[in-house]
Amino acid sequence: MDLKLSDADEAFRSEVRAYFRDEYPQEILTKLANGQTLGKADLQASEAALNEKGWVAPGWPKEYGGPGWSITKRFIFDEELETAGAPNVVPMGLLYVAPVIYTFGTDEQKKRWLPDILASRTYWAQGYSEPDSGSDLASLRMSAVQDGDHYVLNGEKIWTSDAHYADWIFCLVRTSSEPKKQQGITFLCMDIKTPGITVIPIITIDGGHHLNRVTFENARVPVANRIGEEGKGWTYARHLLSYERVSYAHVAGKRKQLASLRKNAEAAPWGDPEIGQKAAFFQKMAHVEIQLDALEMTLLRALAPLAAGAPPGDEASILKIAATETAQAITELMLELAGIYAQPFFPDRSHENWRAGLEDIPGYAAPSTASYFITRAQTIYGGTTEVQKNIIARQLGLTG
Amino acid sequence: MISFDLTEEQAMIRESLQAFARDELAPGARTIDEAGAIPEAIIAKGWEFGLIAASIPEEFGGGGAERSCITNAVALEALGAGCASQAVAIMAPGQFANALIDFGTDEQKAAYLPKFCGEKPFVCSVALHESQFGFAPEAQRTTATRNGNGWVLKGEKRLVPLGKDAEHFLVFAAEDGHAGIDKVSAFIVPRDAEGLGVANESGTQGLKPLAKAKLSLESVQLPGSARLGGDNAIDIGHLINQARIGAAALAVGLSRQATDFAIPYAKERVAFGEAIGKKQSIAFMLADMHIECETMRWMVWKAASLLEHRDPEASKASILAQDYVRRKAVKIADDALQIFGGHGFIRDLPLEMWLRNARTLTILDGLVSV
Repeated sequence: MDLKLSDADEAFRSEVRAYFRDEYPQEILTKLANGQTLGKADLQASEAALNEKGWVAPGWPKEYGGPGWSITKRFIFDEELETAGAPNVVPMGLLYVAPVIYTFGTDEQKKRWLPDILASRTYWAQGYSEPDSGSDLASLRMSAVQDGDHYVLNGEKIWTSDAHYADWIFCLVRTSSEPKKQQGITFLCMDIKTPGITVIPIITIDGGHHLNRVTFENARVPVANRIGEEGKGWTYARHLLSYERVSYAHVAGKRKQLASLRKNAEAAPWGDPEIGQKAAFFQKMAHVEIQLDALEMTLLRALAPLAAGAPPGDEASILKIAATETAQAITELMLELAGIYAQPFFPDRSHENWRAGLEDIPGYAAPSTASYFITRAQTIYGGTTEVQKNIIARQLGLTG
Repeated sequence: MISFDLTEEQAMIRESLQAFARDELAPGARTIDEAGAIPEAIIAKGWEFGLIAASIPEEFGGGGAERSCITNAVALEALGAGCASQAVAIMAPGQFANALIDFGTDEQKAAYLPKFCGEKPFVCSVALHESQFGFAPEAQRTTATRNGNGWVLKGEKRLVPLGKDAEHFLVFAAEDGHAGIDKVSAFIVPRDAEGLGVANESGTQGLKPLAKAKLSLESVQLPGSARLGGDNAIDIGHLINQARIGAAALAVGLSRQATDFAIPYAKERVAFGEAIGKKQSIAFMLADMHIECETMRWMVWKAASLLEHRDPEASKASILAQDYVRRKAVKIADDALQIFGGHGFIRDLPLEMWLRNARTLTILDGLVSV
């Protein structure tokens, strides 16, 4: 067992740290530090800056524009990005569909889609979940029936993040009914402005518009937009999850949140020490800090085989549960510290003066509330905690 | 003999209010939450039950029933199971009325209680919360300083329910700036008092449609008769505990509503070939939610009963019940949301509203009382 990074990797870490300190657009970091929300233009600006450096797609092979980094370097980069407080890239194009395109797509498809994804010229949405198929995604029913050189699509996708910003959408669609439900699924890409496709906003618990419902009514999509073979969509979608699952942990981002929390907790005007309110809170915070250390070890354990070129182990479900429960434990503490200051509702934090009129509310409170509500979804999406535990039970041989 | 039975009258009140909550409050709750305002027609309908007037003595036009914290706890739970925001809007004035019934001088009772016995809703609000970090009712920053026979109030109150519509406020303040519960008193302040500013608070995450106000008190001069109880010492802790249990009773109602909404869904929603309610993780979650709804109710009733009898153990029971309900109600709303998965997270269904309401309900004091 060896937890030390090589000298070369440490040098790389210094290089990335210096980039975020000296070259990356500081105004984006300032906005986030001010508790502001970022819009599409900000995210594109962030990605454009990273792309200029050649760093926007760390996982892509060099031939498609990736920097050719090892797993360890990718991990270091993600850590430094989060430590600097920079936003993660919008994942649907760069992280989710691009690997499917460059691994299983035709040369024509790669040429058509990859450059625009790399340059953040096009944004993508992920059409997976349906109203009746969430955790049990393979039971999806949206149909794609071939008619000449098109598929005709009918059905509905839901929880489609940022479909209202997207130019393209990739969907898992059912092209046939098979005894095993995973077998009749096909991976299809389409222009979101295709006639018959409608994007309907969904408002979530935080009052924000992040998610959508996307309906398909006789939408015609070229067969040429299918990735790989018909009926193999499920395999393609699952094949490339290994690194994405581990990059889900966001350990550095959580460390930054806890450091902020500790700073705010130390500055808070706690009352009579005999009542022990401060001591009780700091003890809870210590427990979560320990939980985060355990998460980091789990993450490194999951990364180690990948770094050595071996296939991933069975840790994905453990990591998902640990990462999401830790994320929620942190936002729960943030909410607890904010107390009554968490109550005011700020519908629009996109501008600098979002706190106008309520300056007596400390700056950390409203972003804490927003974080708490958004983070609530983590133990639901990507397979609920309950489903992850079932997977672990199966791995232990407890169920059939 | 220990009995958990309600009296016939309490059972009748519960039944009518449950029907009102189910048929009138719950159906409109989502629309009202989105609109951020409660229709006057709902408040008027709630007023028709005469809940606040019921225990006002007959000589002041009221129902003359004995003040019963248990009856109020039952009523608040029933209303809370329809919609917590609307329930507070209907019952908030009761906190002012109850304080006067319990501790008012004869003059104070005669001056204010008859107004709660009319056909139209009469709004008076309790102003308890302040904006300091870790606010506790025992540690007030608003001060009341003796001025001859009268008082001068200085300070600020936040999140006062229905503040903009209130005719009078019952403002909690620390006498002469002293610390500790013994030095906290309550003062009746008319809305047009000089030096009193009333402004709308901006929206809150939970109890969104309930209007809340910020009060600023800049040397508000009051006569001696404005102090609740006049010159008599009053048990202000009792009022604070009644408020604790009032909010707790609403939270029990909210928890019951969330649990009862999740059970049929778990029986219908299919994933991996069977209803999710058949999966032990979900079934156990629902069982735990039901257990906690029951437990919370008994703790609230115990505290309400002790408060009703002015038992010396009432304060401890109130604080323990409040602490328990605060933790469990949020967990129940949270678990109900989890059972609905993505559908629980969005504003189409009420789960996310119940979680937001549970968060606000379990952090504010001074909304309603038993």
